[in-house]
Amino acid sequence: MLARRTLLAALFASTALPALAHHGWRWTDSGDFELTGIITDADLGNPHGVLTIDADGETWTAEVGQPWRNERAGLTDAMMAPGTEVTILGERSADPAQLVVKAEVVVIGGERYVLYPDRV
Amino acid sequence: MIETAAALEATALAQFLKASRWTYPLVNAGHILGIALLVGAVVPMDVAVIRGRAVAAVGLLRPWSVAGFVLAVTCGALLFVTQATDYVRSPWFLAKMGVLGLAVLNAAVHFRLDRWPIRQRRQAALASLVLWPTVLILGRMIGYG
Repeated sequence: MLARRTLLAALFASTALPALAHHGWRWTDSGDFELTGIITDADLGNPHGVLTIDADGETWTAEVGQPWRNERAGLTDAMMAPGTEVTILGERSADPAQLVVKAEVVVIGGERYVLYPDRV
Repeated sequence: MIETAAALEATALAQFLKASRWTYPLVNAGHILGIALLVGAVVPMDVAVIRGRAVAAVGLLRPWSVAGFVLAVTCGALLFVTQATDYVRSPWFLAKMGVLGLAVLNAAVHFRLDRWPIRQRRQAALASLVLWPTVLILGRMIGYG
């Protein structure tokens, strides 16, 4: 019984893992969402690019594109380095308890980088 | 374990996979194809053994299950190195590797099924029928942890 509880606890704890992100848009709330903050961690590359963003003390996860999508938008990994101020325009998780946003547009230094041209 | 995973992630191969446009999704597809061949061969093989009609089915299907296994493990290893530090911290991944170990052990012990009495053959087939789909489900859950 204890072993089972430990396993369950471990499984639930796994939801806190940073780089396990989502394909598609089924999980988002389909509204418009804007988030501005400072990048504290960048985990870029396949299968998902994930930024951790500190926004007024709240820690948000922003899902950006795979490398080819970021490149097409004109975004390089170096531009998303920790310490950078960034604004994410996109859709947030349909679960309001989750501080997760999937980016459609990334704004850095006043410049708009459009990841999903067909969605904006 | 984290250090080893970080070292794997830092290799040129992992960095290439991480940044590639087509290779990573193709490796991903190869992993799925391997699983399809493996489980697609294992399930009818196990059912045939349980029903006592093993010989022809095993002869036909076993090479496909082994080929699928090799493809799934090869592509799986490439997927692993790309994001190794995340996988070693994922309880779903660790559970998958544990059950995978049991499934491989069960297959290895019973590889010469014809040498075993019918009762043990059926037990091995039943274990296989539970273990391989469990590996598949745990693997899928990694992406939804």
